[in-house]
Amino acid sequence: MSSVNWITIYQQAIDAVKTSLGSTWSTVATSAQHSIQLLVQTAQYITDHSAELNEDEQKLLTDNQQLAMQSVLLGYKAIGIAAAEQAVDAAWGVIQPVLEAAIKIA
Amino acid sequence: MCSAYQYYWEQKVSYFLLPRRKPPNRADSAVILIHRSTKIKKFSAPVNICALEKCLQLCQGGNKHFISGGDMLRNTHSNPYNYAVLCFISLAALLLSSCAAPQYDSITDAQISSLQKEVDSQMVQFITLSRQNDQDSIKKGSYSQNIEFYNKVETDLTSLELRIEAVPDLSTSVFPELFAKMRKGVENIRQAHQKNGNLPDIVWTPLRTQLNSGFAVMLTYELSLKGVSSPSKPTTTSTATVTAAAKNAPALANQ
Repeated sequence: MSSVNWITIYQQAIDAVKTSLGSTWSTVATSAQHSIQLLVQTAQYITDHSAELNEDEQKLLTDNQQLAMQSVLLGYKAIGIAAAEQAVDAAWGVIQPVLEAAIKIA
Repeated sequence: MCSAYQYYWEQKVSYFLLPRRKPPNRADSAVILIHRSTKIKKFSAPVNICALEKCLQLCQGGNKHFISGGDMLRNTHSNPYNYAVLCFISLAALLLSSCAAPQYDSITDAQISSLQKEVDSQMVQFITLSRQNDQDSIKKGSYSQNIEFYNKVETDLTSLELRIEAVPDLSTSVFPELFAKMRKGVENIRQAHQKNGNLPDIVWTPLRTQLNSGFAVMLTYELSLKGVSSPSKPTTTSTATVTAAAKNAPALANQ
């Protein structure tokens, strides 16, 4: 199991997405929080299974989880494609370096 | 001096006409609403948008029953305020008629559900085959044995996309992007599957959840048209996706 405090990463990712979405955050908060949680869980999952997953498989999981989060955000009329992608990028910008570091340690 | 009604009649705007006989349905009541609104001091009542919209659709469809003239012609007089009210109604009518809400389509609903079920059952099949890990299961779960699955998903996605986007609407304007994301997700899986020949169950399990998230957004939209759920709350926080995610990474949930 990884020693990363994923709860802290989750909170930081939420803050990043809040900043990215601005006033729209309140509209999408429930679904966005859940999507961010799934994104963090995916990173945690990859870290925990890093010995069993090759790079292609790790990339597949992270790419598709980001696509899933973009789709969820696009489900809201208030959010366009650019805003959805920026929000996901903001969350991933917090998670990715932690994941990469955790995989190296693992 | 011509009346406001006459002015609009000359401009071929037919929204302000009143049926001679008693209105038999909701659309007619909208006409009455418009009629009342032209009586200067009574245009403070809330506008029944749905009824107004329906009425306009009928009028624009050339339903002569609503273009009979009658009482309104005699009761409407030339007046600056009256004119302004009619302008407002005309503008509102044009706006409403240009952004009619899409209707629930049971076939689209069924197609989304069918595709989701097809993809999900295949994901479960991949997970099962991977866990069995015997020679026969490995072969059955290989890319070469499942090319048809990817082809069928692509075809079904295209069919669904064409149906949803056949009636362009502001609320469906996001669908091209949603389908693009879904296609990209499936293509990512196909490429990894093809490259590796097989994928382990620890990959298929979270992939299943991720794909279901995309379908959940589409189903939420379609069901919102039916009045089953709110369009502002995608079902991606459903028990299914939460449970699967929790199974994928129980540590975060337990922290």
